[in-house]
This record gives sequence, C-alpha cells and structure tokens, in this order.
Amino acid sequence: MNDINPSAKPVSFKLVLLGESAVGKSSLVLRFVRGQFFEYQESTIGAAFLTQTVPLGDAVIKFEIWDTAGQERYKSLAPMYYRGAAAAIVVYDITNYDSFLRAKQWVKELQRQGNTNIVIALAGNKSDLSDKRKVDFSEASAYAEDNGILFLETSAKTAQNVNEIFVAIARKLPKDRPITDKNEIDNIIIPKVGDTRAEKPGKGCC
Amino acid sequence: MAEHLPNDQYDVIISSTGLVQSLLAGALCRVEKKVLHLDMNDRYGGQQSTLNLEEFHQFISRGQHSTDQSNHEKKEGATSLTYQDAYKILHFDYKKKTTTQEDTSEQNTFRRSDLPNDMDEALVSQSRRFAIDLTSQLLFSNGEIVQLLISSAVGRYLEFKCIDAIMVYVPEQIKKGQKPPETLNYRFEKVPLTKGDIMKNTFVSLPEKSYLVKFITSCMDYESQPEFQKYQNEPFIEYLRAKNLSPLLCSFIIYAIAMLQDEKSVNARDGMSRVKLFISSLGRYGSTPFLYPLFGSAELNQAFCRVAAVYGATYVLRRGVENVVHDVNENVTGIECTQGQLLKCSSGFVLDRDYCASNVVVSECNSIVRQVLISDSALFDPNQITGKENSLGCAVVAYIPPGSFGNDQKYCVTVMQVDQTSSCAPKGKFLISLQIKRDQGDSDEQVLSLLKTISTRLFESKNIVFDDVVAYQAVYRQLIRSGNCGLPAFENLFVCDDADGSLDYGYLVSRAKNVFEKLTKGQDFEFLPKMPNPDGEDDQRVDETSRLLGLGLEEQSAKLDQEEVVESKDETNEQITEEQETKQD
Repeated sequence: MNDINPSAKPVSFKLVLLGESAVGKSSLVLRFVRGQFFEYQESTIGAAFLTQTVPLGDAVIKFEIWDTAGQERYKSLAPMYYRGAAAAIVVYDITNYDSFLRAKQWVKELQRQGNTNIVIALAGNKSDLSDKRKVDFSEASAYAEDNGILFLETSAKTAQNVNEIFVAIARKLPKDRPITDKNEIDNIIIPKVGDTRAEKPGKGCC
Repeated sequence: MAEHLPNDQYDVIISSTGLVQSLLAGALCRVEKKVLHLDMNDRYGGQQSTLNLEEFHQFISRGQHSTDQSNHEKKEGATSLTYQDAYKILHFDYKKKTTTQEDTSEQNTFRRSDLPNDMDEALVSQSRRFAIDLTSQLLFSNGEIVQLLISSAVGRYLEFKCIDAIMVYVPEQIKKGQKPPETLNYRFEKVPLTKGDIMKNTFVSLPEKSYLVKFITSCMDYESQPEFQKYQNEPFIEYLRAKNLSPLLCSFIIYAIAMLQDEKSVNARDGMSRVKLFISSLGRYGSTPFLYPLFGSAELNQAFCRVAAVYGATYVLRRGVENVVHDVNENVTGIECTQGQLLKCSSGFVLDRDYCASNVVVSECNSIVRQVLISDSALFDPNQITGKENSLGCAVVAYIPPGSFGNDQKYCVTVMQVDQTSSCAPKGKFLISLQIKRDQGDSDEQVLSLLKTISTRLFESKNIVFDDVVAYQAVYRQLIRSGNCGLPAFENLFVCDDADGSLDYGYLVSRAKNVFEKLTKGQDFEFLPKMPNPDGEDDQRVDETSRLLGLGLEEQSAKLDQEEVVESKDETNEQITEEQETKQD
C-alpha cells in the first residue's frame, strides 16, 4: 500500500465515517491506515484525521479520513464534518440490529445533507463475530442495492474486507478532479504554519 | 426524552457554542481538562451561528422565546437561571410562489421542509445552499485569531476567502471652481489600499493619493510623531484634519479603516491603534486585510469544537441549563441542565448572556439592528469588483457613514455582500446584510424604516426595483448585554458578554484567553498549542518530497516551512519546486 508511484500526484478525497458509537469506526480506520487492531480501543481521542493513499492503476488516491471524534454520541455532529466529503463509510455492528437501523438513518442523512455525488459504502463490521449475528447479510445487501450504495461485511479484527472497502470506494471516485460541494472558487485560502506571505506589515501598500 | 449524560466529574462545563466558549473548550481539552460542552440550540455557533434558509426562517418566524419559569423550584445552594432572548424580530417577508408553481401539487405533497407553503419554489429547493450568519464577523489576516489558527493547526479544518473590496458611500467630488449642485449624489467608492489600487484609482485626486500613501506608510510608528503627541487625546477627526486629509480620505479612514460607528466618540489614540491593526493585516492574502470562512462564520466555532471533541470533550446539543449549584463558599460545583440532571464540575462553569438569574429583569441595553436580504441582483457587481469578465462572484464589505441618509442615521451602516464564491449562496443569488447600532431608547420602528429606506434606495440607484429582486428579507434586533445579569459573583463562574457588533474577533479571542488563564491558574499552560498530526503526515511529506528532490531532511524541512499560503492541500511537491524556480529567477 505504501508503494507509491512517485510520478503520480495523489488526488485527495475527504472520507467520513458514520455510525453509532462502538460499532468500530475508529478500528476500521486504524486497521486500514496502520494495520493495527486493539481489542479494547478507547473511544476516539486525539485523532483529528488520518490519511492513507491507495494506488489505483495510474492514479493515486489519497483519503483524508475524518473521524466523528465522538460528536455523534448525542446527535451533536457538526455540519462541518460532512462538508466537502467525497465518500462516506456508514458502519454498523452485525451483532447489533439497532446499529443497522441507525446506519440506515445516516445514509438518509447523507443523501439529504451531503454532496449529491457522494460515494457511500455500508460496512457491516465485526464479521468475525458471526455466531452472534443479528443482522442478516441478505437484508443489508438488499438495502444497499435498493439505495445504490456499496456494501461489504468487514472485520477490523481480522482485517477481512477492510482494504477492499476502501479500494471499492476509490474505484467509484472521479479521478480527474476532487468532488466538492463548493462552487467554483478561484482562490481559497488555508492559513498555514510559517507562511511567507506574512511579510512586513503595511507592505501591501508601499 | 433526552438521554442521561455520563457524570464524569467534569473539570469545566461550558454552555453555548459561541466563539469564546468554543475557543475555550478547544484550549482546555488540549491541556487535558475534562470538558462538557452544551448548547440549548440544535446547532453549533451561539451568537456566531450560520443558518441555512430553512433554519433561518424558523429562527425569524418563531417569535419570542417564552421564558418558562414554572418548573423552577427554589433550591438551596442553587441559583436558577432564566433564558433571555437576545433577538427581537422586527420584520420579515418573502417572495411568494407564482401560480404556475402552485399547480405542481405533487411537489407540495412531498415537500419535507418547514418553509412556508406559499414560498417561491426556487428558494425552497435551494434552502440548504444558503449560509446566513446571525452576526457579521471577519478575520483580520494578521489578527490574533488567524495567528491562532496557524499556530494551533486548527486552520486545517477550514478554508477562507479574502474579501475582495472595501467600499465607502461618499458624495460625488466637486472639482475646484465648479459650482456645487443643490443635492449631492452619493455612491459607493472602493477604498484603495494597495499601491497599485491607489495609483489606478480615478476617484481620488492626485494630491489625495499622495496624502493617503503617506498616511498609510507612516501609521506603523505613528506614536513617535509630534503631531500625534499633540492630538492623542483630541477627537480622532481633529487629528486627521490636522494631517491635511480631505473629507473623502477622512471618511475612508474613519469608517473603512478604523471601522468606527461615528466620528465623534473616539480620540486619536484609540483611532490610530485601530488603524494600525487594520494596516498591519494588509497585503498578506489579498487586496483587503479580511478573511471570511467559506460556509459562514460558524465554521470557526465548529473547528474549535472539533478540536475539543478530538481531545475528549463531550458534546451535547439541544440541552440548556436550569440551575447553577454552589457550595457554602460560593464556588460553583455543578449545574442542573434541562431534564433535571445534575452534573458536577470541579474547576468552573462558563455561561453566556442568554441566561440570567430568574429573579432579574435585564434592563434595556444597546443593540444592533440587522437586515438580511436574499437578492437575485448584486449591490456590488462582481465583474466590476474583481475586474474580471464573467466573474463568479465576490465578497464585499461596505460602509455608509452616519448622516448619508439624513439625520436619523446616527451611526455608520455596515453592508456585507457574499455569494457562491464564499459558499454562502447558490449560483445567481446574493446574500446582503445591513447592520447599524441602535442606542438604548431608540425606537425599533425608526431603525427598521431607516434600514428599509437605505436598502431600497441602494437598489434604486442601480435602477433596480427592490421588490423585483429581493426574494427574502428579515430585520431583527440583537441585544449587546454585559454585566453580571444578577448572577452572584462566584469566582469560578464566567459569563461571556454578547458579541458587540464589531466585525473583527479581537475581543472574543482575548476574552477566551483571559478565562482560560483563570481556569488553569498557576499551571502555565499554552493556549491552544499546535495539534500534532496524528498520522505523522508532515513527516511523511518531508520524506516523500525529499526523496523526490534528492535533498537531505534538514534542508527539506527548512523549505517546508516556507510553504505558500494559497494552496490546495496536496500541492506541496509542486510548490516546493515552484519555489525553487522562483529563487533561481
């Protein structure tokens, strides 16, 4: 995954994760980005966003992955979170039917709030716990098909389908230009550390 | 029924997600304080909220909040709070749908929005593309908040647009020897701020140009000048006149540069310190010193709240505060929130002016009155402002000095126009706001009619009929409250003042820093230190680029520090190469 063709300029896409608390959103990201899994992952602290590149033919897709940072817990997710998101993974826990119902609500919310061209993937996580399964594969799969979204059952623990779901999303993204819900804007400014424009005050004038 | 919140013995409980509170939440969480952040509304932003049209219309048409005191029981060791609405809606109106639209009954049946049934369909269908600020705020490019966004790396969540032009409403210039006409014609003129703009300007006369250039260049060390020494306690206008500045230049300096409400109330010392603040932000990102967040002001609040959340804060919207609980030593120990849950906090409690002690009636205070318009036609033509053909749009701040619309206009009117280029409106729509200070005791009706007259006349002067182009309008009054609202002066209870109607964030940032210091007394913490990049992205970048360019790490990181500001996030490699090229040039 880190074998990047140096001549290909990565195209960046914002990807957001949604889903009820404790369905394994952060675990999926950590597995994908760092190849790690912690059985007792604490609620997310200190992860603003992670990035990971996916080589795809000639192109390199770079995901900027945003975590909810726990703001989904009391339905207090900031609208900023969805803004400019090109893709979303809506996660539920296959051992918890309520989390599946909640996932459906998130899909609805994304279709209402998000970009019109947002790529949505549904992830039925914790597929390693299939003996405790409460959500049928067929039910989730039919739902995904009806709504025209990607669907995979994943396990952050065993890594099953984790890379696959990100690659599937990468394939559906437009490669030439990043999607954005911004209208065409000519000069967007992102203040950065150590910028050289902070030249002598008053310079703009004389 | 709302969920019970975990009672984790919070260090600090913060109510409302206004900017001071959001900054504080972020800063406290960065030094590992346990924060519970509540907001009674279902949105982030407090007084800096940004709403889409549907939300804005709900806000405008809801009427006054009723203050419900019936549930309040007098509890021992607790001060009960009452909600005080800062807003009073004075007027609203919207374009009705046409008869052809009425026929599409199907649309009606499936209409899920809370907008009125008779509203123009074009507005309804685009409701979510509007980002309407409740208060106008701008960031000085070199101001404290931008420095903070850079030093803390919180800026990575945000994108900005530089304001394209600053305008002042001025009378036409009478040439020497010309007989002045009976009535002067007024129009908006661009305030030239860069050397190029000053030279190109055709409205400002040649001698004025040289005075203006002199004034701007000398204002960085104005304090040492003998003239200033003499005039520092005199009215600002006297000082400017003594510097031989024409009435036109005085208008530019007082209203557009020092951003004062009138010419009388400020002395030369305060006036010049405001001028210096403005001038020191010039030339950093564009031709004006101001930045505006894409999607509206509330993005800033959300960014700082996100930092807080990332570092462990608990966020709960739609939850207000009913009682402040304190011990015998008059220290706040917790709060009781709506639904009656008691939550403990050890270090302090931060509240905004929307609450006061139940037994107190807030006396009349100063306020601002604001008119918000959604228009199909711009007041400031984007092509003219940007000097480009087929310009997509522009962001403009304009000032109408007091008296321009008769003696009833006691204060300067601040006008702001934003559009699709700030992601605040759909294509072809313009969001225009007019804002004026209202003194205690002034009549609402008078200020309302003044603003309506001004906006109508501004469109008229462009040969546009107001009612033809304005699809939505609302006028509301917002209180500027300060003082302790009848709350006991507890050492660990902090009440944040209302936004004071000034455009820049300076005051809000210093207030947040001040409360932060008190809440972390003796611990010498930095206010919002740089967020480490959790995946080491910066290092990776250095690594990748250095490999590509065959440079050593050390050299490379030095180069990375010189990254350009205007960039899309992933053009680092390209930029570094560009920079090297420029150097060779």
